Amino acid sequence: MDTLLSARGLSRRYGRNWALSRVDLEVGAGEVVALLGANGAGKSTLLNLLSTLHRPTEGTLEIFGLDARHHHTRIRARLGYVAHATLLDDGLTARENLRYYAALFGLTKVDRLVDERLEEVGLSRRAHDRVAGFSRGMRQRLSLARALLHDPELLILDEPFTGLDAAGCRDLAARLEEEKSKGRAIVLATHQLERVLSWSDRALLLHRGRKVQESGADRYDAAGWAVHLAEVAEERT
Amino acid sequence: MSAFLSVTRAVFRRDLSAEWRQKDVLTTVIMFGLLTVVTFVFAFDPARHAREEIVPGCLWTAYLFAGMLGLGRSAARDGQDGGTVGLLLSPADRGAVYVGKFLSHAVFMLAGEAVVLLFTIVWFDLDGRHLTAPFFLILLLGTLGFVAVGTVFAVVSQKSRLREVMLPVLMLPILAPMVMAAVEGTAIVLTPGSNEGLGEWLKLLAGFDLVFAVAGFLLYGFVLEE
Repeated sequence: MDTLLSARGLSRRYGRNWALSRVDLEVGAGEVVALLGANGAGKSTLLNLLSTLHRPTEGTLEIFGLDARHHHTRIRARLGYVAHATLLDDGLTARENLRYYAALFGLTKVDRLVDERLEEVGLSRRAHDRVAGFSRGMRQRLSLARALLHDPELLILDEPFTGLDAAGCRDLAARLEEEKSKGRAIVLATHQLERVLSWSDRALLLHRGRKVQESGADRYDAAGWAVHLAEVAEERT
Repeated sequence: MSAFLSVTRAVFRRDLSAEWRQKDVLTTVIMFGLLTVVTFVFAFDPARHAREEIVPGCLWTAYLFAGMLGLGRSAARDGQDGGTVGLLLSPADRGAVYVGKFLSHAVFMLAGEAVVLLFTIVWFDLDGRHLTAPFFLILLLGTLGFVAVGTVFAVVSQKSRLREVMLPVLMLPILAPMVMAAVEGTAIVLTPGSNEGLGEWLKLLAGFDLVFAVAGFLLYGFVLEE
């Protein structure tokens, strides 16, 4: 399996606080890695580093074989990012939002591409409606379409289920599982363990900015992981 | 080159489409601009003061502060729901993004300024014969200089905790030469008779625009990333 992402001793300091400390991580093509941990464990910090939004204070990070410090523009062209914030413009329609991002990524055959992505996330009929009128679930689906527009090899997801109702969570999880089946690598952080662990390959447990465990995601079921997370937090507090 | 233009066009169209529907930047510029002019009308009775002494200061005060609010509003809209992050995560040429934003900001400002100018003409009972090509050239050059600086600093201020407060604090010292040239130049063209010294102010405005447009183009990516 080709290594898409390789992090060594990844650390990030904000002021005097180390939000992340000496984390190693490798992600292969088509692999799904779930980041687990309580709030403040360093999951979002790690994802911000992996998405090249922030630079590591220490450590090395290679994505697609490129040094993330020096080649973030080339890396960004090949990764997709979905977070709680949808990165969409409320004032534009669904279609206009995707066309805008298609232009930013320098994509061609934009009309066909946008139609396909809207179809995939079930928003074709709302293509000409303004995002301001969309439900949270529809926004998140459109956000996923935005992230997949340029067919990224690696998807980074930071709490993508936040604010979604049960049906929205189920739809999004199904969509992500489908992306995995297409061979897309995914690194995600979520508290909705039951939504992702069944189709994740590995789980990486963070606590106070440190990696405390890395194992197969199937080591526990969702309830078992939740208990394990609580035990780890209690042990180390 | 076509990729550059494609990004510029996309940013410009996005800003214009969003503004066409929401009208928040333009409304901000027009409302604050008109309030400023009204304040000047009450403070300096147009019947008792020479208009060429009041109008230049009134107009540029209105344009500057209304423009800063408008730019702040535009930057806030860009940052809404992570929009700036979306831009950051794209491989788009930052210079192309700057040009797109520069153009959309210029359109918003010029549209707002046109409305404010109309009311200024009526309220100050300005003689339309003074509104000649040099007057509009000063207006254009002053606005472009303001936008060249403001497009960069609007991003900086959005990253600051103080936001709206930060924008004028950052911009006003840098805009000082432009404001001076714009006010002096406007006063000259509104004064009946000679246009002496106008050329120098126009050169200063053009130079200011060139320097800050190039600086903005080169620095925008850095400001966005940091």
